[in-house]
Amino acid sequence: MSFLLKEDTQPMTDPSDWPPHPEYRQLDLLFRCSVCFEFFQTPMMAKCGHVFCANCINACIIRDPGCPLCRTTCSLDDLRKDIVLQDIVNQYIMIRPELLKIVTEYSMLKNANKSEMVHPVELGKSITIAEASNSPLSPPTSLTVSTSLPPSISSESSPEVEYLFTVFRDVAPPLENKAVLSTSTHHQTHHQTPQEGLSTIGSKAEMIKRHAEYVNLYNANVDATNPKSHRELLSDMRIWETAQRNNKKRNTNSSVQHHLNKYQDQFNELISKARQNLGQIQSLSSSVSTTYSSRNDYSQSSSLSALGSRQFSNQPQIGTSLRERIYNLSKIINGQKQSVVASSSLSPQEQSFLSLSASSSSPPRSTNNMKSQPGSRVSTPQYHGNVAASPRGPNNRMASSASSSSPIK
Amino acid sequence: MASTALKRLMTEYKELTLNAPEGITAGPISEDSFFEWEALIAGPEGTPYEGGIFPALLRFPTDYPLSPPTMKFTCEMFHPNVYPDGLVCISILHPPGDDPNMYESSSERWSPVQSVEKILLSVVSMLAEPNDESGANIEACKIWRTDREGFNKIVKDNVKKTLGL
Repeated sequence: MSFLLKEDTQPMTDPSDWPPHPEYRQLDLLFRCSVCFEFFQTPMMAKCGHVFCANCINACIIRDPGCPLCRTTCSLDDLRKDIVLQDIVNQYIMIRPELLKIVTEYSMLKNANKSEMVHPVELGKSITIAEASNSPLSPPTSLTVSTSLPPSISSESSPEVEYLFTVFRDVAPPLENKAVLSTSTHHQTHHQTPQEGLSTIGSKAEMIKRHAEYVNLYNANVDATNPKSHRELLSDMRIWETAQRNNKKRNTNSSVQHHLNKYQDQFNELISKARQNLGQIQSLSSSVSTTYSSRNDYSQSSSLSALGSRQFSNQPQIGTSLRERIYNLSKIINGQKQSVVASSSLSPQEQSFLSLSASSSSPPRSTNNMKSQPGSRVSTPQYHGNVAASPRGPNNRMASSASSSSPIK
Repeated sequence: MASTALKRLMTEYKELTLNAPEGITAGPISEDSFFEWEALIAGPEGTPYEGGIFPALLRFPTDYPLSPPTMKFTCEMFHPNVYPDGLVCISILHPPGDDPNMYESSSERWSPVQSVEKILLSVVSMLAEPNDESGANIEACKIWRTDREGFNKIVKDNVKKTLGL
């Protein structure tokens, strides 16, 4: 026979290579084109979902424009490459020899042990063989049966679906064939409108969400091999609703108020810490800025703090008019920024030196500052320095030493 | 196409020798030509054909399986769907495009996914249930319809003849 095989590129294989277990042979069969009975070569999917070798289906369609298996009308333009199947088949061809070896050895081993006990597999085998003799299971038959059943839904319900909601998917074209088939796999569900029985509770947004979820479920079900009934779909929806509710509950639980209550202590602790820190910064900055303030009109601002640092509370406040205080506050706001910048750029030694010099000095009267507010009393110590002139850099040191000397003049 | 046809026929042959349905045998007449097969069909039980073994010749076109083979009984066969010369006339052997009698639905007709095994099984069921609406042998049709007893007798005589009794 070998002379007949000259045109072959691959050694000929067929499902009967496998030990006589229907499962293996069936698997082998599934990787084969039902026209040429060989492994798929460039598998192409027809409109109906059946797959053939590109060569086979092309030749078939040119003669008779339809799927060879189910006769669904299909033109060359409808063919689509099945790239996943191609990979699967290639992989299978690669591992087939080894797989075959393993299975054959295992099968022989099992046969050797057969006398000791009866294997369920063996029983199953004999049954299937008996069945096969009654109603022989040749490749195309089995394929036809398994593949032509599924899409019964939409052909039956499509008019209603179309009428009600265009979002509900309809199974891809060839309806005639499927409509015929669908009578055998009758689903009572599809006499109902698709969304009948859906809950209508909740806000508009919730209902939209629910509907979207249902449309999704419904459409996925349309193409399922064993489509769920309407009731099952609704039951799925109820599960979803419960999940949504639970999720919502969890969301409310984790609301801001709940969070605040739960971590009240920690928050308080953090706040008090932050206050302390702020107080330290305030005292620091006041000493820095007061040192340099007078020339830049920051004198009033530096030590004042709305949050009332300790330093501030020590300062004389008596007799300050309201207007003056407002004026001071506005200065505080401006001065605060500057003073923080100044203090942050100083080394710890400098800072401590400054604060020391600030606290040790007595508050002298400002001359040029107070001109704008005659009659007012100076509430904060006035120090002379030039902070703003050079807040950082090498001049810093110079400035700070200058300022430290000035109050003590 | 020759290569595809050949490969397919060889695969089918192997499958048939390993798992032949009951009452059916088929294989190439000689290894020189895989395109001519001989088939033996046992007459189904409970029919006047019971007990008979009917040889037939299957001829495959070079573009098989795109085109169907032809099947011809090489023995005498009295049946409404078999021409007097032995040619079998059943829908599975007719390509979809060509329907002289306009009675076959295209789903029953030849498709490349059909096989020798299926043809032979169809022939077995044809023997058991003649289709008198698509008569090939008008004489047989008439007798089958009007005189079942007479039909059965003719068939039984034929069976004896084929067995050489």
